[in-house]
Amino acid sequence: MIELRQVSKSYGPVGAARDVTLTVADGQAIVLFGPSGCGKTTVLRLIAGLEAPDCGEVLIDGEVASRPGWLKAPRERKVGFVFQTPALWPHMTVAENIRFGLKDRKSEAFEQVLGVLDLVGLKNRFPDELSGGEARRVALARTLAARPRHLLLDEPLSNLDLDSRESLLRVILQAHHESGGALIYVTHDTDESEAISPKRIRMQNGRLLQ
Amino acid sequence: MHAKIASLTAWLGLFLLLSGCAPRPQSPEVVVYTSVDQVFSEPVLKEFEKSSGVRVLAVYDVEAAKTTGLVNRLLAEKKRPAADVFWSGEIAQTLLLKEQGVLARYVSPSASTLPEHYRDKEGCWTAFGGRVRVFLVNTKLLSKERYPTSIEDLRKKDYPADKIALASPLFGTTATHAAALYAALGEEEGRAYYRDLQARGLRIVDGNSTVRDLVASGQVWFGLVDTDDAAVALKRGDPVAIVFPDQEKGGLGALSIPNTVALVKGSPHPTEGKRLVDFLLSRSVEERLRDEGWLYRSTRGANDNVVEVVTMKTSPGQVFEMLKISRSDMTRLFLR
Amino acid sequence: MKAFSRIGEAVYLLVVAGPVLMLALTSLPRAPELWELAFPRGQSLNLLSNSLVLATAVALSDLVCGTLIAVFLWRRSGRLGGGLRLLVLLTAPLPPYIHALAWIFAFDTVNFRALTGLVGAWWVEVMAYLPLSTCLALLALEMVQPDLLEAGKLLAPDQRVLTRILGPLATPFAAAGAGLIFLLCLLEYGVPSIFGAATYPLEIYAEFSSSGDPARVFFMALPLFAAAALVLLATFAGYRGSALNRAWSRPGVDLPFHWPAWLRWAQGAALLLLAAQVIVPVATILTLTKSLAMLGQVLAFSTAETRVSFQVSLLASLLSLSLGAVVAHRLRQPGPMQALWWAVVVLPLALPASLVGAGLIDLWNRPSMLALQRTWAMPVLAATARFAPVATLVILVQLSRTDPRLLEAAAILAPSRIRAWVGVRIPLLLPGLLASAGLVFILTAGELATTLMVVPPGGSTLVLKVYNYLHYGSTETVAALCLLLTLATLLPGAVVVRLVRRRK
Repeated sequence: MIELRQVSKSYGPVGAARDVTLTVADGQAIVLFGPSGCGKTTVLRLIAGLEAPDCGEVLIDGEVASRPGWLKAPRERKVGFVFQTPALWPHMTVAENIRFGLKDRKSEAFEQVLGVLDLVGLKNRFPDELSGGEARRVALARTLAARPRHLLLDEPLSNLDLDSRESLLRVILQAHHESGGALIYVTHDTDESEAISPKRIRMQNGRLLQ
Repeated sequence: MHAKIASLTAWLGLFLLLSGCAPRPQSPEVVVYTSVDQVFSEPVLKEFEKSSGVRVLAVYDVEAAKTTGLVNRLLAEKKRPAADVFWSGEIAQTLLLKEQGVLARYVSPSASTLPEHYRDKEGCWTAFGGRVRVFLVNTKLLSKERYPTSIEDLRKKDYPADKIALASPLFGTTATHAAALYAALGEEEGRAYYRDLQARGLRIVDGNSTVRDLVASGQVWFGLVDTDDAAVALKRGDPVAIVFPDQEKGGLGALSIPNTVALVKGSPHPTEGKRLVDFLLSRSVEERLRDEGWLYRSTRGANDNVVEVVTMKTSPGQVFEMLKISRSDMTRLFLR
Repeated sequence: MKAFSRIGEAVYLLVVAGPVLMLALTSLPRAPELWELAFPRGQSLNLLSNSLVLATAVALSDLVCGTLIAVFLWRRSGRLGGGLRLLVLLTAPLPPYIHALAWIFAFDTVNFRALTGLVGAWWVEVMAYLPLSTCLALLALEMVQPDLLEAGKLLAPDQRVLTRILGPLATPFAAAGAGLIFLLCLLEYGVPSIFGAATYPLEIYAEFSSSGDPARVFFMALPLFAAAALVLLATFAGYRGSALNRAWSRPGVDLPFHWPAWLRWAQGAALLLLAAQVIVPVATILTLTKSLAMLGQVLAFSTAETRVSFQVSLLASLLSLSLGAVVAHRLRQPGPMQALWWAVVVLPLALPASLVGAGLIDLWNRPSMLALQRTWAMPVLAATARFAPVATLVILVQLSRTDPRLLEAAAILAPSRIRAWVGVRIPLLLPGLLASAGLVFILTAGELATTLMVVPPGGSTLVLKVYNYLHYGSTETVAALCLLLTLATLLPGAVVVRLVRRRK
């Protein structure tokens, strides 16, 4: 379960998240949408522990994970985060990128995501040798291979063709189903959001409009 | 694209550079390159400016580049010299310049009072005064009766090798000293002497001023320096004394290294150059430099407050002849 | 645009490569007679290997220390961060020779005399180049895109993020810095000479001072050229040309990193070295300067030198910057000329300074160039000839780290070339441009041997004056002059840093 209690975060005078309170239960999926710059990404970053809140608390599985001045390390939160950009490490191959977060180098999770996301043939390529769609698949694979309990996805499928989008959506939903955790999905796309969840929350100026 | 802007900037830079050039002044001027310390040479040149009305443009050599910086500059500028006069605190480099055809013949009227072996036979240079290679002894660490008296003492076991300092014999006056010893003792004996010094493991340091400071601070008992270095230490009130080596009757004598002055061949201002040469070779300049501590002795006239020194009998020509051999030996012995 | 690049390249060939090419042209005909000088044997070979070992040891030590300090300073803003950054730069303008004197003075004061030979030279050179390596390592870290680190932090402990992501991404620039320090050490003879360490440049120098023959020296310097070329090849060819966007001006992400204990200990040790590196020379200089009145006196009789040093450094860094930008671009274009351009860039870096001076005189001392001869243009050209390659290499690293798509987008979208340049290119390349300009400025301010060969008669730079007074043994004057040198070099640096900060 992911819980935000009256969380605010601002960058200088700009309030990116204002008094956000939100609960996503285990097994639940929600879609965050709203105009650009309304604070969707900030909410995900606050949950992942990439930002510290100015006030309020973030709880994950009932435990406080963030409060002003204190952050639990991102990797200890059991959350997976797919960024808007693939953010692949340019000096590592596809396989190395995916394996990075795995404790067991020969983990079956690695083989599995390669298979599921159809990356077997790309294993030894470097990021600059991938197409945009391939890079996104790798980014997703990197996140899923670590088997996170909760998933935070920031427009993970933008700019992909319809077929790839559908197949990746299936992969995401399957992963969510298997993990049994919460899923927060940021998108502008109506088709995507319908496929993910009926629960859609709109954001504007850093506030949730439920 | 950025290349375009960059090259524009480059041209702008060049333009700025060139626009910074001042127009040449019309007043008479003379260019002198000197390896004599600026503290000593600058006042002398200023005096010349005042008395002659000729503007002096000087380039002063620096210690880290020893005296070779300006010598190499003169050699490189040989085709179109920028300097009129070369005033050196040494003689070996001047002889190298003569050999390379950088110097012009000019027999200055001021030189007539100088001894003959201070004047080049072809008139390419004139020497005056002398800085003497001496022992600088720390008076707190050595009692008078234990002062070294001969360069042979550098070889003796009476003095621990790590308590004696010597500037690197590859450069400067220490290199000239080696060549002079080769000339005086003969090549074989000279080589054997330096081989012994190397084998003993004396403290070989960067320059004469370092030797001076090591002696003054008591890190070594004594070392070989030039009299001008010693004068600085005495002036500072350091606990040191000067000892002239090999002064006994029939002894080798101490090496006296004269200053040299020469006119540069094809120089841009030969008339002013000659006037400066005449001035630098005058007795008053020599005495002034002696009184200030740059020279130990004046070649002409009385040296009232100065101990008369027995000097080595080698001629500049002999020393220069030996320089190439001794220098390659020194490189082999001391650069390892 | 092509025409302008060509002009820039031509100016580079003339100003930077010209002196060296002149030397090569006059030396090569004598190859049959002098060729064997290029293959040192016996004792010379030992000296060469001493030099290589010394330069390698200094470069690696500085790479490690500089990186540790940089990791500490990285993301540390506010008073502490800013103050420490300035502290790093404080002693950068002092020539290594002065560092050596200060260290010897300090060690003498506490009666520690063990610092001699190669070890002594190593210690002082590591200290003298620590500011440089720290700055370059810091720049390297700041160029790493934050989202790559965040992606890592989500998946693995900080130590792993450090060794597998931050490290490899920052390495190319940091390694280029180490390569540069290797080159600077390789040619340094003052410091080894002070410590009685026998190195190859000393032999070259002894040869030049006894024969005065540039051709002999040119051939003797060829092994240094080979070593320099190899090191640069290894530095620049060894990594994937990964394009990274600038990250340095993004708002700081408040993402704390928790380093493992060993790293914090190592950082502590490196910071102690940094402190020593600053305190020893500065304390020595301040102790010896004795009074502010002394500084005032020295300033009064060194105004002209201070002004001239500043002007020459400024002009040389601007000229090097512009030429470097053009040629860095050229170095990236594959083709038959690429290797030749690399040689053109590397050669001046591997030649002894006074030899470059001789080449400069060969090139510029002609009747048609009389206007140049007696002006400060010559020292500017001299510093450019020596240090424009440094600027070129720094800009090259920056270029290869900049996403070409961003530059392409600017080329397509910008209404004019100027806009593309001012709006995109300069800001993207800014860290590299500033670093190279700053480097050339500092190196020029401390340049001695080439400047002495071309300084207009009647003039002097601060460094020339420092060395002149060194011989006379007037330590107070020397110390005050050094203080002046540091201030004159650092004040403009501090102003630039301020301006950049404000812009951010």
